[in-house]
Amino acid sequence: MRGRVLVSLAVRSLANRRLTAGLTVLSVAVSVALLIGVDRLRAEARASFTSTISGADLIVGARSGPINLLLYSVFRIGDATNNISWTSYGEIAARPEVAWTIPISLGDAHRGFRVLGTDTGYFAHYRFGRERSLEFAEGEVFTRVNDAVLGADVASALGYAVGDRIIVSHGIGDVSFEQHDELPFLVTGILRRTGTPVDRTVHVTLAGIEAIHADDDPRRYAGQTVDATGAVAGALEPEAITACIVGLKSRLMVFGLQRFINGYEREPLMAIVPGVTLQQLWELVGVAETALLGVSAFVIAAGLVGLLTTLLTSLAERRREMAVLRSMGAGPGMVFGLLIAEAVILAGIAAVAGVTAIHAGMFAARPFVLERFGLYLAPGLPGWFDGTVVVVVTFAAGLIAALPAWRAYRFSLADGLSIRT
Amino acid sequence: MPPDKEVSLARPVLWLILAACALVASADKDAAIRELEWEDLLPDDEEQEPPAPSWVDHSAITPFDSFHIPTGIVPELNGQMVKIPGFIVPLDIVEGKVSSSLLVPYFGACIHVPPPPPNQIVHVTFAKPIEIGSMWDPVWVTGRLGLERYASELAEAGYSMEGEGIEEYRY
Repeated sequence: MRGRVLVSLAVRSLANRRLTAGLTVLSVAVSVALLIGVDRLRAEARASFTSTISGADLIVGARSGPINLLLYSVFRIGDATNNISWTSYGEIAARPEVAWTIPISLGDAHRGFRVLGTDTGYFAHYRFGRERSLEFAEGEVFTRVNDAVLGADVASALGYAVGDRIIVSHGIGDVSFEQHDELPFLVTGILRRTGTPVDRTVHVTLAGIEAIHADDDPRRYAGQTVDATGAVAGALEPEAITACIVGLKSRLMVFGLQRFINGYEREPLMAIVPGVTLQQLWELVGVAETALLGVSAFVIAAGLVGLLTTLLTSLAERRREMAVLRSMGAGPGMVFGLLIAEAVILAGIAAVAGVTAIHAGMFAARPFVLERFGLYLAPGLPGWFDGTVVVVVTFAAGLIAALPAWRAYRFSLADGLSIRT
Repeated sequence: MPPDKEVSLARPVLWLILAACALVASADKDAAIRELEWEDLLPDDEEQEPPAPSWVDHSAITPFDSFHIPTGIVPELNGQMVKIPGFIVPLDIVEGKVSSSLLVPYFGACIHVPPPPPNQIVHVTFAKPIEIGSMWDPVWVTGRLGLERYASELAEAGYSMEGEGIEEYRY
């Protein structure tokens, strides 16, 4: 009974000061939305990042650093220090424990998008996310030297469709001025969107990469069919590739083959377990995300201090209100409870509003974020983290409101009724 | 003694009995899970200290094939619920959580040092992907042990596990 009177009094008193109360709610809500938003984005970024490659047992490249190898082979960030010779690649692919291999040849570009030379095994064996494989939105896999398969972003950004002809330039810059002897590539397929760097890649055959670097006129190779290794035996066999992805018959053999490759005597090679390196890389990046989360926690603290300030300043203009309450028979405990109730109501509304706003906002922004940043935001309902934030913020508000409540409790009667001159 | 008093006494007694039953049941469940050490994975004739990792001699990596590698397994372990301490080497990560991994007896098994022999690696898959902290932290992994057949020049089969969960390992 008393509690209900308290709440109804608090609500009415707040309604009377709806502008300042509204602004206080807004500032706390924004800080809560920021914290929840940072947490959601961090989880989504991590999920998207670690979902880039799966099902692969080893990635092999020239000896450099594990993170460097992972970045250029999977994320198309940075460059290789050296290549793997075609004979070494053949020897690794022929090992008894190896089930499949995907060769990767990098170093060229098409209007700012990386060009990757590979074979048809890429479309059969590359996995991302929860064991998902690449699917064609349109067209089919390449079969000839100058065929190309585009990632979803390449096709949508440059407006390409199956049947278009494109020019691959040497080097990875946006524009190259080596215009001679150009070999046009025919778009034979466009992949479905994956949310991984595959979307931003132009895939061609290994022979296609060789052809554009050929000394003679590359156009004479146009239309030749490539074999299963992505090459044209005798004519366009690559001397080297940049890296390769290896799948094993049993994952128990991962360390054995890794050891064999790391100790390979003919040339310095390195093999990494993608899961391990992803984890290492994420542990590195994780420091920044923790910092971001820390900053948002401070913003919440600032929001709560704002709430405290509002309550304290409101006391001055509410001397009369308090005095009237006291003279009507409300005990000092009632005045104390009234202020605590106000703070709790304000903070509770703000926290719920913040959580709702950020979830609704992120839901609405999904297409934009996917298109602009390639980050897929899984639609999700508020979870236990959001619940915890609401409870903690509300509780903290009740706690800090003890200060203004105590002041009101102490001074209400004497202050409001005595006439100051 | 008034009858209502009796009722109020009976209730806590009932609770006590229930609690005791629950305790016994949980103890039973624990007993069904066998705590294994890495030597238990070796057959009797190979039961010796596993070859100690020869700490990082970068100057001369011995060719892999020149190691003597113990390869036997203990088929009786197939199907048992076990708990093994070790380090998790993530293979597949799904949405930030590990769905497939190798469990090994010493850290750094994936770099520099000779890899553990095939019968000292367990391929653990988690139907419900788990979150791991740092790869440096040892954990207890609980799950049902199985055998994974594969043909290579080294060994015929190794251990697999349907992992159910991990917990922190305390020294």
